[in-house]
Amino acid sequence: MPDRNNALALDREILSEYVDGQLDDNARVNVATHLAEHPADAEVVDEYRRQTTAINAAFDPILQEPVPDDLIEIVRKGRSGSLESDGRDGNRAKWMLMGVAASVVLFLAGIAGGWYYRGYQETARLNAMVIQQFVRSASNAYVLYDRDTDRGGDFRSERMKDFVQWMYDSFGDNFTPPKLEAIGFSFAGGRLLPTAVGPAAQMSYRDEENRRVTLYFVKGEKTEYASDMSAFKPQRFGKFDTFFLQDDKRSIYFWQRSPLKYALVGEMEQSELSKVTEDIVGQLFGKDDK
Amino acid sequence: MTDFFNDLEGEIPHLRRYARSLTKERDSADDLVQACLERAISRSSLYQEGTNRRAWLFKIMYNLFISEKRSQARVVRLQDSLDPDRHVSVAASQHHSVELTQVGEALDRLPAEQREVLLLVALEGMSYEEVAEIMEIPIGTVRSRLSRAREAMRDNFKVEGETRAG
Repeated sequence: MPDRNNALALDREILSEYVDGQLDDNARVNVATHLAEHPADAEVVDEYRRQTTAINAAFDPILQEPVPDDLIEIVRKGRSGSLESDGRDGNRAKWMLMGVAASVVLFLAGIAGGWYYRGYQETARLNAMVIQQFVRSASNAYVLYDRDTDRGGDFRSERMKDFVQWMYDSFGDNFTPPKLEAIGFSFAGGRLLPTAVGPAAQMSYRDEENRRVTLYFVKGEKTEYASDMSAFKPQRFGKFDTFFLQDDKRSIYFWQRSPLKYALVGEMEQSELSKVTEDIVGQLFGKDDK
Repeated sequence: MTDFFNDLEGEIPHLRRYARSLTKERDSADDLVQACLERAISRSSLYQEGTNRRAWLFKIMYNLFISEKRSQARVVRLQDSLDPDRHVSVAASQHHSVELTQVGEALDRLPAEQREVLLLVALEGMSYEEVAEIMEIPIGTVRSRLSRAREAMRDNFKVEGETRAG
């Protein structure tokens, strides 16, 4: 037995589509014929049309308003390639913080002191550069900040407890330090390293053969993956995407999960580092449903 | 490339109208337009010439609007969890109508997702496919929300016509 309410709802959807011109020619003719014979439905169609007219009448005055100068100014600055903002405009700032790809902000922050982006820049290419810059920093930090040649850093502690406290102060609940004893690595120290995008944390782990891996991470808005991540080999762990890169002797895994970007670096084969990555990703994101 | 910016400038009145239909209030609507313009400019290379520019812009704006709504909701939840006795002002979620007209008030009574679909179709003339793209929902959902919105408007609008209760 057909459900009357559902049938009525379906009919009304079709009347809606008719009003909006979303039906193909055949269907439209059928409905028009139906309306000619069913005045109650024809009245519904008229009411839908009256609604549309009233809605347009209510909102049209906005279309006629003079456009505020500051909005035109944005487009003009965009055209000349010099869109600039210091985020001081009160309410405007709220939207702008969300509106700007923060990865662009981060990348250029060290250059000009303020921040700006050029309208003609290819966002996609810029994003790829941001990621590669980050991975390169992680790789360099692996080489430079070897435990045996201590060049210092803003923070250094081989005691997990101190490091965890500092981590919590910096990153809050967003990060829990991975423990790698199960795969033979013990925590060997943590560092806070200054970068153009703010402090990066580097956690070092060593195994019994004195092989070292470092987990390097920084806080910032997620960088959208450009179509050109061709320098990387993607690898999936469960439902989680990572990207692999070989830099000289170092194998590197990169991934991100808001609000952190991560790079795991080690001087070993990809297959070896892959096991460490799998363990870390499982600990960091094991509870994710996605 | 200059065509993009000329056309973008021409879109501003439509962006302002759509933003007002989302946020109700003039200042935050223009803030939303500003954020939309800036994001559109930064993504100008991603816009495919010949495709529907307005739908592309509306999608950017709708995403910004929804993100802000969500972060506001998170703030409210966080505040509530910190201080459950705090009185949450319901007025915060009720904006006065864009136009103090009967249809404006009738629109206000609709659930947000129904109103948003109705405005994109009836006010902005978007096709159902474009609405599905802008709001990132299935096209069947567009149809059902639109239909429910129109049916609810039949009740709201009529009632408004008959009585002007306070």
